[in-house]
Amino acid sequence: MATIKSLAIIMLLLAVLSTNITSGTWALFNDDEASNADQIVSGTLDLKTDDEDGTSQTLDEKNLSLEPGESSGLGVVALKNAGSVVGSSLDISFSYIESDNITNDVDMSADETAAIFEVIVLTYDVTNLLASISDDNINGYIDLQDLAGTDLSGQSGLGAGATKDLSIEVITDNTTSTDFADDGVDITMAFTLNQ
Amino acid sequence: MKKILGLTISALLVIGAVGGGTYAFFTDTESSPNNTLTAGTLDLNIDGGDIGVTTLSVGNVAPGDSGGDNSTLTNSGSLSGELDISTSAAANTPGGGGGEYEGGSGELGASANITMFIDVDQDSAWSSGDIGLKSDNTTYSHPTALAYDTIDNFASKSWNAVETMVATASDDFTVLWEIPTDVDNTIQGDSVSVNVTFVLEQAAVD
Repeated sequence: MATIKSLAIIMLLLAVLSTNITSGTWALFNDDEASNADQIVSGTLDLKTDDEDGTSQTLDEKNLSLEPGESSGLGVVALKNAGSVVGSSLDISFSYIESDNITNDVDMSADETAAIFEVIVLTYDVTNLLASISDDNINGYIDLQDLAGTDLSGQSGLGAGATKDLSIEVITDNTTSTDFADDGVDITMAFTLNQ
Repeated sequence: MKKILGLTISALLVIGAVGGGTYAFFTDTESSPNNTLTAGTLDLNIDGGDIGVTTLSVGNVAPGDSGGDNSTLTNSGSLSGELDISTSAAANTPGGGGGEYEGGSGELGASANITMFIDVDQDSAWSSGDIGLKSDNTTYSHPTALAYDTIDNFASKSWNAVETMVATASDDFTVLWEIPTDVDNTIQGDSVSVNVTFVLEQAAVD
């Protein structure tokens, strides 16, 4: 009986020693430091036309109905880089689709109609873009059809917060026949600001 | 009978006297004084101090941009230690201010790539002896090419026993980043933030 009691005491001691050894590993030294809030923030490149995103109306603001020889008046679009990243270049493109009135006795095509609108002013900032456009349809003047077929990409860019104007004015060819009455085109000017 | 008993007692007394006489033999005593036990120190510093620092903070980044920065880790203690590194979850924040592409949950962490390595020779370049941290919790070494992955994939990871830093050793922790050119406008104005924790622990803790 005494032997059993002694064994029990020895085993108990071993158990206590074992516990101490295990918990002892937690006491090893360690030291920690931190690199906090390592952060990357993206900039923005945000082109606005007349302080808006999306479409802004320029020539079609009053749904122009021009007579031969009549001017559209000068339309101006303010192009602003509202972002924080510099825009290195601006691409400009023109396109049109046919947009006739309901009552249209003679239906002229969109290309034929675009060709009767002579572009007399087209400037971006201080650059006269008409100098970059050729009379591809050989009708004696630069018109909307010529404009739509010209690559005007790579214009000067816009710094963060900078604004530049695009100005355009068209006039209807004064030799336009009555066959073009009630024919029309919707013009889209697209601007892309590149990083 | 009485006489015999008296003699027996005397004999015991004589024996006792002889025994007591052994304490008079030569003795010499020496001592080993001032034995000292001093604990070593394990003290990790980052950029020379014990206060957390910001290793990398860049703003207004755009596709095609890249860069990097580093912090110096120093074992300022007297003991060697194993370096463990871990990252927090990525905090993605969408752009604010009403920009055209702002909103969502913040996509920069899933788009921006980073790589992290211990610049052992502190030459500001990925070179022989340096230790790279991979986004799968493993490490690698030069000349294996630096392994980039998105910030989100590097978040909530840990690397144990990256290296042993002996007393007074200094290494640089370097982070390189890049914004791929094929990301789209969804990252505009977004930000992403991650914390990195370094633990120098006495060897064999793991």
